[in-house]
Amino acid sequence: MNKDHKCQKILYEHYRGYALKVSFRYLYRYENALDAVNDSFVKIFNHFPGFNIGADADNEKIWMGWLKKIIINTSIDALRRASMLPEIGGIPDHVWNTPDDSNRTDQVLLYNDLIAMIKRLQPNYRLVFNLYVIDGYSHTEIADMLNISVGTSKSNLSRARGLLQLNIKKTEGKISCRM
Amino acid sequence: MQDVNENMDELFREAADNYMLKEGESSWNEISGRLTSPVAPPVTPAKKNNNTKKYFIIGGFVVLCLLIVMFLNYYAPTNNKRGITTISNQNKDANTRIDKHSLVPGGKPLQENKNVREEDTKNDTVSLHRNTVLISSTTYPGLDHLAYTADIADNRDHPVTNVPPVTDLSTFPAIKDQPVHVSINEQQPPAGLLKEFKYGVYSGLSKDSVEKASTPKLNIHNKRRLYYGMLAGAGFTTVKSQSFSRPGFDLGLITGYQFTPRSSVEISLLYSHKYYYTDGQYFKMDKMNDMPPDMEVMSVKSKTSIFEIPVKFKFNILQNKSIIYAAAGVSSYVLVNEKNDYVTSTNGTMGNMQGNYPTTSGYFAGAINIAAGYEHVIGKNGIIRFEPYITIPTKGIGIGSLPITTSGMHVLLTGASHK
Repeated sequence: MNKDHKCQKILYEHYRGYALKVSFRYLYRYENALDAVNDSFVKIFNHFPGFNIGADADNEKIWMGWLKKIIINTSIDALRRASMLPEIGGIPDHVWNTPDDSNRTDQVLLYNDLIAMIKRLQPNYRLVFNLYVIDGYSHTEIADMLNISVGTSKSNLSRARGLLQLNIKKTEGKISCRM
Repeated sequence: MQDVNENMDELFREAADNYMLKEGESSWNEISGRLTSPVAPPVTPAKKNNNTKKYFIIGGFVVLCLLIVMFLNYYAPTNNKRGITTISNQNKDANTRIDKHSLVPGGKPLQENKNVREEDTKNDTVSLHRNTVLISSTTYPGLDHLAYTADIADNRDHPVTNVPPVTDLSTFPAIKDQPVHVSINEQQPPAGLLKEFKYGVYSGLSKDSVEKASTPKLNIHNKRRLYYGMLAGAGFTTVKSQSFSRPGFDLGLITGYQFTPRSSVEISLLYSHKYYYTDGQYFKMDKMNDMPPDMEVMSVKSKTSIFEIPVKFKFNILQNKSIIYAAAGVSSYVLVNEKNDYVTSTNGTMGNMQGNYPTTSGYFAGAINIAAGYEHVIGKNGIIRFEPYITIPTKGIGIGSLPITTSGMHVLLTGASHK
């Protein structure tokens, strides 16, 4: 990767969808997520000129991991900076996209429901669940990132899992139909 | 319960990967406006072009050094070459005093401050001045022209250009068959000189002086003071005695000032390429502002371009035809480019990353420099030196503040500057 704007634009266009999905899981506000994505790419292009993606598939994995990490950090920073209060209510329908393939529609709706289920968690539970389960951070890393203890991180995860299991059971019929 | 959790985790991971959000309109215009102005890609430059340019620079540098040495050699006056450059019989010692009366046929005194014969030529200069015979020549042919005449005894500073050269000093009655003892206080003159100067004039020639002349001295002054040269070498650089990656090289210029026959001070300017490897534990992350916080450096291979400025005190331990010496001093660094190949770990995932840091940074007295060497005269005016050295770091350099130790060998070619 270099600072050539054409290459940067190609990278941005290719990965902005992925970046938006990562950011949205943390912020759950569409506009804020868009801003966080833009901030992340600016940060990458201005401050990480030394990273060479190349054409290797492994390099792309490294790049993806790196991009994800920056987006997560930027999103958490945005949460802290704005002192965002937990948003009440569901996710507005206009943010969801529907697949072109009608066979996948139910499955995508299931995924969307699961993401919306995470949103209903308390913000601290949501953060730990996202970081640990979906993005693969360890409790130690989460504790460092969020300035909490490892025990708190584990406790939050346990409670998040419990709440999600409860929610899943409530909507079991709906989920099993879509599965 | 564990299975339930794992299944649920997997379900949510799948959902996170596959759920669909509207991407909306591209915000590229906004992003591009916030980017700094585009510059040439710093990380993966076209190696071929860079190498060509680098070779041109190094080649030009070597040619420049050679030209400097050739220039110094060519324009250096030949009456003051290294080694035996001036033979003087000074009147400090009674044993070496030239008696005014003894040199003059017919008993007329040769007065002080009389130039007996002075030829201001580059190759030969013979003069008698304040009871001092100076014979200066690279090849010592001037001895053939050494002449004394009574005609000038009473004429101060009388030029004697028309005095025919005397090829055999033994024809002078006053100095014929006089014993000559020569001792040399610095270096032995060539055998030819002593042979030709068998009937020379720098020994005690009067009766008194002959009687006293047990060991008359011939002072041979090495008037070399300032010298210049070039050097090249190779060396291995390590960090904390770890393994090295490949040898680096140095090219540079050196100048020195010899303030006593044994001691001198030298300063050099070297352009060095250093290659080294280090484990991540020695790599300090303080200056790595651009690296993600959770990324850990496992190991680094570095290639640095450095201008090194060693200032050393040199002392000749053994002085003979060749010299063995020791030198010590400090080296300052100006790091002009650093390229690092990182092996990183992010949450247990290994990766590779490259970093290019073209910024210039200086490190005053960044290392202690210790060297020893062997010095040998080559040709008429040159000296070659073989100098093993080691630099011991006093501070870390580069983006990772690495304490680099370099050991290797320098080969130096020097020539004297003459007064």
